[in-house]
Amino acid sequence: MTLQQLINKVLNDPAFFSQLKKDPAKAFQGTGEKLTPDQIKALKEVNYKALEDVGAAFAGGSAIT
Amino acid sequence: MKSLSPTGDAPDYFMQPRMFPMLLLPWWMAESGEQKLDRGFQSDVVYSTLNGYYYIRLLDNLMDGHGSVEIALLPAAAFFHSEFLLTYQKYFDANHPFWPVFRSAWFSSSEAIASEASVACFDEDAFRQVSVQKLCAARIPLAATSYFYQQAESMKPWLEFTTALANWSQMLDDLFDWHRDLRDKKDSYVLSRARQHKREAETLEAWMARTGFDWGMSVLRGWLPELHRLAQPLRSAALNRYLDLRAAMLEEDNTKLGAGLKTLVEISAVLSSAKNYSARPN
Repeated sequence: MTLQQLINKVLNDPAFFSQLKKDPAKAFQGTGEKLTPDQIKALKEVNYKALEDVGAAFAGGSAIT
Repeated sequence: MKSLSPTGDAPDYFMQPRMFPMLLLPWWMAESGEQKLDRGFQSDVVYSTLNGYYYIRLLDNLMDGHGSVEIALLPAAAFFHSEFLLTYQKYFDANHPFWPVFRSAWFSSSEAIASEASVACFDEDAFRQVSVQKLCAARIPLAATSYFYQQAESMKPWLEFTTALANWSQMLDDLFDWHRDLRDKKDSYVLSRARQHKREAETLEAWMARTGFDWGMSVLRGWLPELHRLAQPLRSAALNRYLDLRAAMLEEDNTKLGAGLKTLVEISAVLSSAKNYSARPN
């Protein structure tokens, strides 16, 4: 999965985003990614809390002007 | 009107702290003068401005080509336009100097909406001349306020400040709407910048996560001192508090969203790491 695909998935697919925070290995199972044990370990160490703000800020568009 | 609001309650849409303060600017201007506030006039200004906003928003959504309910709502433009205009006819006769200001600002806004679709590349000039001009109708309630309280000399500095704030707000809008604009195939200054500066094989999304968001934030930070400088002679404590609040909110967004975008880059690096390992010779 490219960074472009990842961003689009995180911003447009609430079910994936929700699963990613709970169990990243399971979230990527349905996307065709085959993860190694090292990758699963690394993904579990990511700070997913920081992603919540990105989803809220960029997914729906802002109301500024 | 309800669907624009995050709570489904139309007034809440205008109460969002990130919203361009089109309803507050005339109030702050009136408050900074020496005359007693006329609440009836201020209330009429708010009513007119709301109608003007919905009129512009309706046309802008249609011109973007992404309107869904807007076609069905188009006849309501007559209502919004009439209510926006007629409010001022109560206060200014046909020969009043308010009307040339009204005409100039109103036509500039409409022209900007019309020409935005045909801009091939949104460089900084196009951004200032087109995107920002959509907000120049905000000059109308300010002109009305300065004439009503007979403070015509205060109009120029307030209009200069409002133009600078419109620049800042539109840039913030472009930065936070980058993903929606990309999805809707709508161009903006931020997306044009991404196209020009991304690496050869890099996608716009990747450029935004890697460096585009930081670039946008640094532009917004860089424009803040000019806003403070232009606000100084306006003698409005409320306006200065507003600018301080916006600067603090910008730093908060920078910290939170910057960390989030870096997290995405980090996840992407983890996902591509297996491919890198498998490409290595044994």
